[in-house]
Amino acid sequence: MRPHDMIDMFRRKGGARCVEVGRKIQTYLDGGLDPDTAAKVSRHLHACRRCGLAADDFRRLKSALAETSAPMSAEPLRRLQALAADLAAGDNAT
Amino acid sequence: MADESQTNATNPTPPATAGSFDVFVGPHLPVLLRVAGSLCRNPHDAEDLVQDTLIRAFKGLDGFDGASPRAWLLTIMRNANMNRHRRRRPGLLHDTVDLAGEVDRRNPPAPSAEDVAATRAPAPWIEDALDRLSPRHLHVVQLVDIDGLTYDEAAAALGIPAGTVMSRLHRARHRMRTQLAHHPDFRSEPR
Ligand SMILES: [Zn+2]
Repeated sequence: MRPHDMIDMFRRKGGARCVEVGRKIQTYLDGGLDPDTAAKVSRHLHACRRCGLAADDFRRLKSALAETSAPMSAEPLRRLQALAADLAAGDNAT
Repeated sequence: MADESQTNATNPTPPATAGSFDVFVGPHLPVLLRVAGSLCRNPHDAEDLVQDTLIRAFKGLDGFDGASPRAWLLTIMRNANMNRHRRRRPGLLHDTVDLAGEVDRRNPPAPSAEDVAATRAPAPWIEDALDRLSPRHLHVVQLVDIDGLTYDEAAAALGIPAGTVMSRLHRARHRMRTQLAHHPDFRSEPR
């Protein structure tokens, strides 16, 4: 096999794997893959720059989204906890 | 980095008995209030909705099988919310997105001074990206990526299959990523 054929073969193989991994990146980052598949995806993300960068984007997106979470006020939570305690105590006067 | 396990795992929940109802629901109250906040138009309605949910949950405690308490509570909350809308807007029963109300991220519950001190303002680029999502997509992003629900819990809250939550969420994130592709604050590395 001539060198450029091999390179071409690898490229096609890598390409197919990139498509497959691309479909799994988000589930991987959400922790939804079985351990074997997760390990395979993880290896590919380390080896492949394109997919690795895509994963970085989704990680950055997820952490930025988590940070938009509005702060909780303590007062409503305290009232709700008190209601739950009243219910538990058999005091249904709400 | 190899181990990116589920980040939004549920706290261990005590057994569900009437006498310890408060101990049982206590760990889930912040999530319930947060999700209610994304289903209701104002903080007052959100608190009312969680109250309704607690009362219904207490009455239905015997029917609870002990699995996924958070999903169980969120299902009750969804039903309670539908009931409220049925009373107020009988014409809007078939569309879950309408039923759940608009996601109102612009008017979150007023935080206390100490809450404000503990958080920093979200990046403007993420706000822009969220504003461009359709209501359907915004809902799942809100519940999973912002409120921290699992796919199953978001499915319970919205009354749709978990697979639908996942496909909507993935599509929404994909759109946000495409849209942010050339944003200098989003991309740290050149490509
Ligand atoms: Zn790749």
